[in-house]
Amino acid sequence: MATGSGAAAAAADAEEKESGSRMITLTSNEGKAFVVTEASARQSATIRSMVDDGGCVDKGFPLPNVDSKTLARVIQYCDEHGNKEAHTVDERAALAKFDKDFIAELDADKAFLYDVTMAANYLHIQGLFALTTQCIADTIKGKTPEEIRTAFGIEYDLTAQDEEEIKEEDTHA
Amino acid sequence: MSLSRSLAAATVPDELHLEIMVRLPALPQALARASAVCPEWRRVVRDAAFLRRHRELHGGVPATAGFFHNTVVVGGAPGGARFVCAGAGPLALSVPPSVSRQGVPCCHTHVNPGDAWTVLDCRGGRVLLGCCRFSCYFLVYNPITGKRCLVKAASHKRLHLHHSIRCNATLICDDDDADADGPFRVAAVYTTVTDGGRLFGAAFSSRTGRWTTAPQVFVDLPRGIDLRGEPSAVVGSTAYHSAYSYLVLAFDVKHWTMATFQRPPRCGNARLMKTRGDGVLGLVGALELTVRLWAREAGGWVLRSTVELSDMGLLRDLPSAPLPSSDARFPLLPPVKIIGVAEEGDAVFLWTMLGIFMFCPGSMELKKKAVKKQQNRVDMLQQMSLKINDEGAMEFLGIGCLVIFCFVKFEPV
Repeated sequence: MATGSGAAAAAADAEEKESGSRMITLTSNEGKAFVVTEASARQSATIRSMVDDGGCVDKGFPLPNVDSKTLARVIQYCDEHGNKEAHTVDERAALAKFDKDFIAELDADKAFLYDVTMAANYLHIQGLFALTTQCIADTIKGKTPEEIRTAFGIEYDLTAQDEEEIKEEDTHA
Repeated sequence: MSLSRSLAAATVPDELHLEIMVRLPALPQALARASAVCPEWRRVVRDAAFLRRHRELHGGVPATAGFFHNTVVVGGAPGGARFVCAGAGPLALSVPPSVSRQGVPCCHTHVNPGDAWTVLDCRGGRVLLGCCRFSCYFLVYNPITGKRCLVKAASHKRLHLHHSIRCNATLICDDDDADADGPFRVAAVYTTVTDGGRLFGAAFSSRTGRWTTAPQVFVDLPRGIDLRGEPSAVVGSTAYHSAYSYLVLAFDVKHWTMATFQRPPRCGNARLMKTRGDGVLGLVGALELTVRLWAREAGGWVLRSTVELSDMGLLRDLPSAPLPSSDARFPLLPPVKIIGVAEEGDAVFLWTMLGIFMFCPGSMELKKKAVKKQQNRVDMLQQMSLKINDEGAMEFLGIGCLVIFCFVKFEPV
């Protein structure tokens, strides 16, 4: 029994290894094709589950919600995290440095940062999503509500009821 | 531009807003600001699931709004409860005005009718206050919403809280996940004039609006032994109080039982709490430079962890720091004094000669919360005050009243 399951696991491993070397095509909403390693593509839980469900690996995956510019940047992240090992301290430090530079660059262009965040959410790339949302959170944590509204482009018209509510709470405070 | 606009407007699902907000620092001020952005954000930040996730993502440490402490009357200055905010920001909390100013018909035996409220307990975002030394009235107060509920003390045949010599009261929230204005119980343990060291229990339920007392349920404390004026701990329906002579009193308001048992031996100065994770009664004690954490399991104390503070980077210099006894202001203080515990034991506040530190037993993290400031006036030694400086750090000015009640559950403005 134990040998059997061991052999099965080894076979699964081999298959995994082999599948890890496969190439997968991702297509942006503009029809541009990006060929990536399966290891890179597997950073996305959305794609991972499609591949594991025996999906159409050969036909590639169309991503109607992601444009080429965003997809290129997302793939940059996935390549780094999917194709490289992170076992030793040095390897992990290198990856951490990559993340830091990656997010610093994104942070300079807020609209693009939000696009990447949306794509990471859509593709379920956990690490990237945590990285970008934390970055956005860090930029708003010290801001006043008005500054947050500006930063997020929120148009908020206080209704009479809201104002009443706020006033009431102010008197309690 | 249009993209950033689209993130904020209706096209962005709540889910994404929540993901960003959940990564805001565990400071109520940051969450309060976010909640003021727009009704949609306000709704997200008020969501109980959001607050739970936020807490989990920040190492299980709840957003601490600040501390309540009772001031000691110095030279005729008014004492009573004070709230100290743990950071700069729009979160301004206050304690309600004193009984007489509220126009509440107070008891006739009230010594000083203008007495300010005293903090008795804080739990689940609400504060339990007593109107005077005898607690003729209790007030359950939500400092965020301003909602208050006045509870007249029990009087049941010969058991009068009015005539109690000593009364410790505990706020028990019926449902942890309910909103902070949900049903509650007040559990009081008290000694009476006629029964000496005999402790009785009384419980008020906001559902029925009535007190329940049971004269046949009591425990006798050893002669001369009293309850300590320290915050109690709640596990399930049982309130635990510290008493002198290393005793712990357990009062179960559901099954109406009262019992005492000993603290763990040689635990030093200690506080009761609910343990994080398994949620049993815990006790954190500081002896010399060592902090130990016990849990009550199967009727006995089990030592769960031992922390040598001098091994922690921030307190490396503690062994060589001057002893409190070398300072005229702190003649009786131990080198490490536990001054407060967040309500579920997520954070323990330690006073040392190097300042106040917050220790998180879960993550074994130590953070400096305050810096000690030299205080020349010796007459300040009876009064403890914590001041907020520009960085939001607390400045420790003096010490005397060492009971800090943590107000830890964040409910946004």
